[in-house]
Amino acid sequence: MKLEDIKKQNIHKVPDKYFDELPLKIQSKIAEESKPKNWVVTYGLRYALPAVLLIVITVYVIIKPSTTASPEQLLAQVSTEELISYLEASDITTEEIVESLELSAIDFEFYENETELVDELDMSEDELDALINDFETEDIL
Amino acid sequence: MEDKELIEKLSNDESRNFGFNQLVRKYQERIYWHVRKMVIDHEDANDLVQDIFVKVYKNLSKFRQDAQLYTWIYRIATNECLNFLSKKRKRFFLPIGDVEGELNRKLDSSPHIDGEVVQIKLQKALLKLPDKQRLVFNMKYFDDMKYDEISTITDTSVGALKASYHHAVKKIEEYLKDD
Repeated sequence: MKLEDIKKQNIHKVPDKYFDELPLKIQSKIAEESKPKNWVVTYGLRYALPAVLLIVITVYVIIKPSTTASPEQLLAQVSTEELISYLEASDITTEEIVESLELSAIDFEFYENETELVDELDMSEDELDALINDFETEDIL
Repeated sequence: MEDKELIEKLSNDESRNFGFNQLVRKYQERIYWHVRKMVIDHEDANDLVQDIFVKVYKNLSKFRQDAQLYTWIYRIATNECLNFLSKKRKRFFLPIGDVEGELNRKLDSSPHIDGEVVQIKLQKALLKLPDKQRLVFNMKYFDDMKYDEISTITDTSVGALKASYHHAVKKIEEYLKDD
């Protein structure tokens, strides 16, 4: 088949009224692109965003451990006096406290190094005995 | 409106927008069909035509008044088309055959294409040509442009264009004969 045997015909079509609307679309696009661009959005963010993200992630990683304190750490911030007052005011008995304890390997390590535990309580042995006696007496009563 | 009058309107701040609107209305169809035959898809052609006229508007100050307005716009359109097709390949790491395959599928499935079997076959034969040769063929065969005009637009010698067109016709006829 020769090229000259084929009728020249445009097979491509456009949607209705396409060429009526195109000038307006082009004018709108020019108006849009002529608007002064916000430097912060266009250039500032494009180049600063990776650095900002890196800083945010770094700060988060550094701060995170201190913000997620364990229950033991939080309890350590409460003074002994406040703890005693709380226990005195509550209805919990010594037996109930002992029963609720789940002794793990870590707990046993504490028992093996009992002196340190007492030192941490910042109480003399006499004070501790008096405290225990108080609770036992209250429980009996 | 004649090009001379259009250029006068475009060079005046007060009448620039009016002049540009007239320019778009005068050339939009020719530029659209020039682009559409290269990229096949209507949506791609629509985006490209808008970009081309935005570029024309932004570069009005660079237009040399001794040049012909429509060859200048055609030149911008031609470069945009070739860049678009080139980027398409680079973006998807596509070899030439895959872009040809994609455009072939658009010829078969687009709702904006309606032609006889032989016309679609001709379009598929054209897709076998390198982009620039296809561009030259379209301008000569479909748009009936003179070699001098095509030479100005493509920055290629008339001799090279004649040879390119001659080879394109031979390749197309071979494809039509074989298929």
